Amino acid sequence: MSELLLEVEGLYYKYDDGTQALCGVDLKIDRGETIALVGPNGSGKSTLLMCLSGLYFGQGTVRIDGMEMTKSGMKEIRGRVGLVFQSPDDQLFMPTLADDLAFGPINLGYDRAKVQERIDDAASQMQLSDMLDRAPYHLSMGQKRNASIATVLAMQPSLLMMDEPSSNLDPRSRRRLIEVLESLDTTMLIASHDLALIGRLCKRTALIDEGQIVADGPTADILGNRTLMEEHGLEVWPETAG
Amino acid sequence: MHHHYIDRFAYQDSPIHRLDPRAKILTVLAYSMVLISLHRYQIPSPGYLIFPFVLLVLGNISLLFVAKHILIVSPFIVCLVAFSPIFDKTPCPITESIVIGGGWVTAISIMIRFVLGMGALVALASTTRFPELLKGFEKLGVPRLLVTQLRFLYRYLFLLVDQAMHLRQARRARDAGRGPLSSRWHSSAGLVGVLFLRTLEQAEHTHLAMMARGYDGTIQLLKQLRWQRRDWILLVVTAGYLVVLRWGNYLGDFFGV
Amino acid sequence: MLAMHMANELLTPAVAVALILFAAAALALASRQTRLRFDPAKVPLMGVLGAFVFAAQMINFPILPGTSGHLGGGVLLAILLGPHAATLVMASILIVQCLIFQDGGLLALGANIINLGIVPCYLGYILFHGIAGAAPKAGRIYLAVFAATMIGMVAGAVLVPFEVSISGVASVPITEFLLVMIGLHLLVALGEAIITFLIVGYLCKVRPQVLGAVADKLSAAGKGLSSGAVIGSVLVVALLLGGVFSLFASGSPDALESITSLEDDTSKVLVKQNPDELTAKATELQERIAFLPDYRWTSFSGMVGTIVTLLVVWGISRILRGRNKHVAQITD
Ligand SMILES: Nc1ncnc2c1ncn2[C@@H]1O[C@H](COP(=O)(O)OP(=O)(O)OP(=O)(O)O)[C@@H](O)[C@H]1O
Ligand SMILES: [Mg+2]
Repeated sequence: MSELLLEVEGLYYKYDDGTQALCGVDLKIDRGETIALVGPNGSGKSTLLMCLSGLYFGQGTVRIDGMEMTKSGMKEIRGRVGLVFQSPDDQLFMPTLADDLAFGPINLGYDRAKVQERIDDAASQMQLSDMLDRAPYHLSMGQKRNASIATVLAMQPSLLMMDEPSSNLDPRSRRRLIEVLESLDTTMLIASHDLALIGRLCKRTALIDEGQIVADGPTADILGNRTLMEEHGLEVWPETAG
Repeated sequence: MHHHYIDRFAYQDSPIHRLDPRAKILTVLAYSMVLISLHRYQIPSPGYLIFPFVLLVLGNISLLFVAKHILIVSPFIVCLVAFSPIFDKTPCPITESIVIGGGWVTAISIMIRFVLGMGALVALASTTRFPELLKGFEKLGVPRLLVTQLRFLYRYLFLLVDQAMHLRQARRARDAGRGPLSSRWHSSAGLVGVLFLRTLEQAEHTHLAMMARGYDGTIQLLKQLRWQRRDWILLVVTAGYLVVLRWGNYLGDFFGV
Repeated sequence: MLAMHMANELLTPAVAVALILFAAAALALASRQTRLRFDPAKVPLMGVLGAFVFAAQMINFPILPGTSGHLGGGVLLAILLGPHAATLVMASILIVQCLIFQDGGLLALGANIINLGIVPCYLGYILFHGIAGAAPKAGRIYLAVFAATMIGMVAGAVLVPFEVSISGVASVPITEFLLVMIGLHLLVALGEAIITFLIVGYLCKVRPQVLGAVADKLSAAGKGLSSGAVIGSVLVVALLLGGVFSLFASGSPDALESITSLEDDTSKVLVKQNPDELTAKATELQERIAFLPDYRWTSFSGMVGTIVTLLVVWGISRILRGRNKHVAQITD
């Protein structure tokens, strides 16, 4: 029996300059699922993730664990949704990696011991344990990416969202990242153009275009559907085409 | 611009690096204060060399680097001081028989003090990582908001400088560094404009990333500073040293030495 | 471009501390006005903007072969963000310049924040909005930017001689020092004004929405800078410089000198210490030592004036030549 974690109904979002980025998104995610969010550039992936992590508020409802996300109610929900931004430079802003990992847990109001525990857990999950004293901006790109993910893992969110986690990584770092993500047992929503990564990690894929979810189903069915993929400016994943 | 990467020395390790930033800040401040409290016709005695010299040498900072650095920041004061001898001709005896214009004495005194003060400041900056330095200032009472702001400045400084260099290269690739002045000014202004837009974007993203992790306006750091015995020693020894240097002769008179 | 950072050694402890206290009070006020405490988004913004100014200074604006200027930033930020935020950003820059690059001493920070931050930002802001009015045309905006930059920067620079002579450490006569500072900063501010206007214009054209409330007011700046405006401002600066140099050359009696009566007391102290015979010897000696006797000073200043004027004229001709050849901008 699967348990519903996130429920989005009729979500609309309009930027200040009038761009209608989301036009009625519906999406349900069960606990334990790993879902890919694919779609062409400008289709609204990043915007959707922003809305799901309570950074942007549009029209429509977003519920996590049955609680509705509202601007005023974010205090309780904050720890349940975590978003890893596309650029590690957005994500890492503290003087040392340890401080960066501590930032979230401290803001959640944990005591020193628990903060330390969270730091150690997140660091070991992302294989960063020996870099805690380094300045985040002196890390390599792959390490920075792992560090960004660790900063969010340290908050132990129920839903971990990532925006293009494999962009700018060389093949080896990318492979390592996929392995590390495979080892996590958090519910994940991953926006990505990286079909190989999606194929490895996600059983389910949602396809978004022009602010709407246009297809949602098993990854192989969606990524392997040539007409569907090409219609939305994407390519078939060769391993599923066939 | 002369903004080379001075920061690198701060990541070494030495007895001076390990001192509490507060101890270093306080002693450097006190030393600078004593230096500028000297009379303008007073040439600092060689004893004043000890403080910056000890910090720099124990801190493993190349003196050549310090000298180069001081040279870079000195033009303004050199120009200014160069005029002293012209305008101030108050006779000043150096020994019984040698007398020179007061302006010369002032010029020499200011330059010596400048070099000494800069030496101490370079020692402070290159034996303390900037974030630690900020922690020190914060604990010494500099307002938190200002310190936080400086942290962000430092964090994004190298990132934006890199972007500026890339923009510059991209332009160079198109105009080969030539072209009429007016169009170069326009293109430069455009580059600065692009940089400004990216800055706002970066700030916006960073803020969102902070919000996503529960930022509510305060930032707490994990490792706090630890004031240890060696910091007391530095403080007390420097205090004694400065008192003797500055007021030693009065003390001598007082005790009838 | 040419930031004259005050050094510790030009100030006395009392003056340094007084200036630090004043700057701190002003910053506290600015921080309250920007409501930093209540709007957490602004703290990272202010910080990143400081980094922006550093990075922007990497971008050169060529003047003569081998020389170039760059953005200072104070007045630009004041126009775009308002005076309070601009002051905070400038202060953070000066602090980092001191702490990381050792440009300007720790004890001189107060002076530097006042001269290069508070004064240009607030004065620049007031002048800009005062002159621009409600819905200005491009020419009016340029005029406002020009006046705000000129007066804001020169006013800040003018404080340097006062601070130095109240301290009385370096013995440079205040009148000459003032004139030199004004002259130099007129030139610097001319460049800064043009740069500032061009950047404002670029932003208005490309992304007016980021400018928020001031965007409407500045929108005309997107039309670009006419060569007339550039020639006009160069002429104005040349005239002002001419004025400054003629004052300089005339060696006008040092009216301002009397403000600082230091000259007397120090010499008194010294003369008292010297036996008479020594003094006589000293006067004789000093004549030989002084490397520039008084009378040459005036002709020296005249020379400097001539050179600067020539450079300005040459600069104008360069700018005009460029203008005719390539009107197209590569920035689009
Ligand atoms: N800050 C913003 N202001 C205005 N419009 C925006 C903003 N950010 C995104 N948009 C617009 O909203 C739409 C959706 O953008 P979004 O960034 O969500 O797309 P995306 O799917 O993440 O694209 P990509 O694959 O390129 O990352 C686009 O039309 C984009 O131009
Ligand atoms: Mg995106």
